[in-house]
Amino acid sequence: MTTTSDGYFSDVTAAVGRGWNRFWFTPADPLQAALLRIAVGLLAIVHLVSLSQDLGRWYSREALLSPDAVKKLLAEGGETANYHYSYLGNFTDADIRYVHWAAIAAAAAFTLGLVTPISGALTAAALLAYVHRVPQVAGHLEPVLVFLVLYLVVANSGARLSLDRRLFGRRQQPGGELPSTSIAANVGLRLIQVHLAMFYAMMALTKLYGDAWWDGNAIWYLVARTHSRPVDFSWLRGWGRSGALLINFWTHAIVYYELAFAVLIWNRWARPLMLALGLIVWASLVVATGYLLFGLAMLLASAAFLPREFFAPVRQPQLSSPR
Amino acid sequence: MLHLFCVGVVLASNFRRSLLQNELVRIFAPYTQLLDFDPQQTPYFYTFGRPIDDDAVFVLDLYAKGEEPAAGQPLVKTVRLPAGGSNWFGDRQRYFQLARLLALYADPENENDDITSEIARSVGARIMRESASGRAVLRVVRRDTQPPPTVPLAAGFPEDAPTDRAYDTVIYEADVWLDEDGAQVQRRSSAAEVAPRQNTQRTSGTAAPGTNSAQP
Repeated sequence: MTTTSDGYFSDVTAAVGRGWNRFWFTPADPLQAALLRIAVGLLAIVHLVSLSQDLGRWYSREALLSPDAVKKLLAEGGETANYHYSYLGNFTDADIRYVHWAAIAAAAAFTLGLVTPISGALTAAALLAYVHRVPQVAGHLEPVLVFLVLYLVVANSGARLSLDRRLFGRRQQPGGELPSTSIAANVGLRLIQVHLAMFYAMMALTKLYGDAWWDGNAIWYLVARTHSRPVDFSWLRGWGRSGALLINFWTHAIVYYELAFAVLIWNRWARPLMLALGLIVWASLVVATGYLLFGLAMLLASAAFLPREFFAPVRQPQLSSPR
Repeated sequence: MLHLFCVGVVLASNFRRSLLQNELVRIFAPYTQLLDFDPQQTPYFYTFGRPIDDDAVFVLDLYAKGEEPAAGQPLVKTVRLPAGGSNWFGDRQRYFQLARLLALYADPENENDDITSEIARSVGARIMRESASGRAVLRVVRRDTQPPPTVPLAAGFPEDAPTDRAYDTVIYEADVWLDEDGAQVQRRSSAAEVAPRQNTQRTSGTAAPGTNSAQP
């Protein structure tokens, strides 16, 4: 009996160890991370540019919520303000645009792959500064955008399709050869995958706390908000029962998709279906909520699950990516 | 491994927490909050269909002199927040989020005058500075949504005009003025007097199917 159980545990330990090493430490082509870097960098630029309107009114020293007011509100909510550091509260309305343009410049450098580790870290720091300046009005996008930028720094995403490679690559690699596969590229993409799966689980579980997502009316309450809806779907009310059934289907589809994603995305047969369905689900959520950049960020993060064949047109034949 | 454990714990504790989760989130906070891995302020449920999830906006009536009551001087102008902007890029959403936050804490069930006063003072001071005014009457006006398609509307709510004034409710109202000590705020009346809280939608003729008033 003892011998049998010893054998079982040693087999399990060995199998888990092999699986763990294969999952995290199989070298991968940085191309996928490089393509993601460009897309995520562009998204960061669009996000930062979208903050330009009412910049001083939201983020300067004399903003709608002053730094002192933010601290008091955080303290009232039981949070420690020290974990919400932001340099933006030191700037006046007139000065803040300079640091704002510096943040956009950092995001542009990250997109182009110019000193990628540094520009990536600066982009993440800039994004965090806006979140921490007024966490009470931080959007859905920022938590996703920040982890994407950070993990793409880890993923050595500047090794391909970058100014880094154009300016410094040939010196490091005689003959101008493409960079070889790297463990860092795999680790970065795996971090995005695992974090994203947990994020989907969080979004689904959070929805299950409320009745509107159970009784199928949540989407109605979103599209019926006359101030904030981006598209007017209130004509569905005129459809009566048919409209109600459509709203129910739309609501349930979103919850079921988010619940399923966290699990089924790891199955190689279900993965293409989950990625394709994601396009429909996020398109429908974007028109219901108006969270365009958030929807794009979630789709971009999902691209970390795309198979290597997807990148065949731009891939060198000898390189591989995580599966 | 440790990083993913921290992220997993804070994401699993995003909306409601056990005592254990609360302790872990507190321990991880210097890391997870600083890097925004913990999106606890962000409602990823978008709506639960509660009145507090409906749109709310700021309306500020501005007056020239801080030392005189609003009733005794002419209205300079009225500012609505948000004014303009796009519903696709988040610029209007920030105003809705702040107005909803104030409305939430003006609600008798969650009433917290410290929070509502702090927001009203800070918002009022900024808008008064922008327009060189000395006094403002700040209101948070909530726009109730129509009930779902199969639920009839309550009397007085027009079917074809979901932006009619009947759908608007003043949730919070306060005087804000500037003096030598800075911005001061005085709430005009309690939320209970301004807008009695409804367990179900105010606009519904009957309760929506499956509606359970015992919300988290």
